[in-house]
Amino acid sequence: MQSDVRPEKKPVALWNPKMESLSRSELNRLKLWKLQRMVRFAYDHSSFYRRKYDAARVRPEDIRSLDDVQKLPFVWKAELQASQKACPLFGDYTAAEPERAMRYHQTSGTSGTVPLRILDSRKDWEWVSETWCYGMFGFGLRPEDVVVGAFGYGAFIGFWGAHYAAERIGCLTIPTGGGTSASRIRMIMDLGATAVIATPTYAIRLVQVALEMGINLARDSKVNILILAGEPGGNIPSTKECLEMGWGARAGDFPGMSESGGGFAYECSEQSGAIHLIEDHYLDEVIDPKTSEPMDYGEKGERVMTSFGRSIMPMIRYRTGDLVERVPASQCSCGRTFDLYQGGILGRADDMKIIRGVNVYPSAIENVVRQFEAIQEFQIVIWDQDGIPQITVKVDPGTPLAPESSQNLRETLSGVLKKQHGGLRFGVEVVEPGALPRFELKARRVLDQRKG
Amino acid sequence: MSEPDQTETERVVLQVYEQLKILATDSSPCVRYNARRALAAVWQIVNDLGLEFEQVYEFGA
Repeated sequence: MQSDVRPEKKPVALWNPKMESLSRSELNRLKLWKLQRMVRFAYDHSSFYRRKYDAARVRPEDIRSLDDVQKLPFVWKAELQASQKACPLFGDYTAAEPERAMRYHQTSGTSGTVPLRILDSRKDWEWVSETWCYGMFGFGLRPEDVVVGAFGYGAFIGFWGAHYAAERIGCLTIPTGGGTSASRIRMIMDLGATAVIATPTYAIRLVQVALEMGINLARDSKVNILILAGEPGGNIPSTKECLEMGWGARAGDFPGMSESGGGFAYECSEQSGAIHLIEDHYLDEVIDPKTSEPMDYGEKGERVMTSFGRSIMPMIRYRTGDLVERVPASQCSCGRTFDLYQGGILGRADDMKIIRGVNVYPSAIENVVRQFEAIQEFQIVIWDQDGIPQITVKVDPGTPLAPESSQNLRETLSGVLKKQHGGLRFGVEVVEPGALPRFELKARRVLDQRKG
Repeated sequence: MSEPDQTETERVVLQVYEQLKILATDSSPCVRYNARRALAAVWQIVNDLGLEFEQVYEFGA
């Protein structure tokens, strides 16, 4: 599925030159101004926030510096779910009447919990796509581009913002909801698409399906930009490499989250291996997930998010569960002053599995698996044998392998995984081609079969 | 955030923004609803440029 076709880099261009080049002190002043107004608005209009702040004995006027944000209590997803259960349909954290909303979405529910119901007013919904413009324009999307949205266009919010951002920039924007992979590939080819919006998993799947149709997307299509979101893959090095070679396109990582609505960070055209925080629209903190203490540059911790955008459902100090490593803006050569998350979203605090004392992250396994061109899909199975945790990686080659190739794949992959995990033994099973599930949206590749 | 530093573009944007708030409550539906949509779009400019940061739910946006 690989090719050596690669497009040229685009020159650095900023969506919002005024804000993306502010000095650190100016940025902090701007963020304090917005934080104070946001906290005041939430306190005055949301019974949820008023109750929390009263219980914590903090009032909006106590926010006099950015550090004062630490006086505010965290907001947890479970609290939002409880709020919606107690006060159907939308909970008591809303800060305006639900009748002010004109758009409904919900979280994906991939974590196995009840999806959160989400509202947006007109300006909130416009803001969602505005934040995507920072990244998509910054990565090189221009009005002359032809953009295919390769997703289901359902109630999950992911990618809707990207769709409207492409329209806002002026691109010819093609929705493909309800289509099959084959029909989407036909549209990409027939309409001369130059950019595709998809999850990393689905973008890889499209390459595979195209090959089955006799189409090499890297050679035969005009696509030169991939807008990736919904999963960490856009910044997993071997997955990015696999995508860039498979499509002959630059692959950009644009994480967002339903709870905030918009994109919150973006990969710029310099592709430094990190993503810029959208600092004029969010106040990001990185904390130790166990102690909640703030962490310094270069330390991995949990991202805590305060949004200055969607306000009908304010998000102030929301515990995202995402693991990140913040580094200074100077580590990217683009000249923006927005800080970065090195390596993108590194995983989720609750993604990490401990196998016989070794910390195992699914994204680290993916980074190894994607280095093997013969593997189309994979699954991580964790189970107990006599009370001892075991881990097996099932790999699906897509097409039949000769016995010796299969044996070689098993041995090489288990060897690399073992080496990268401090000697932890991994089982590797090569399954029948097509035996593992394929995904259009977020992949579910970890099966933890342990009891309790 | 500070008026003395505003450019001509920023002054015009703020004028348009304030005028759209008036149109967003007009009695004619075609004026009112299109103005609300425009207000939501111009809100992005005043927010992006750090000129104003307020909520506009009362204007239907």
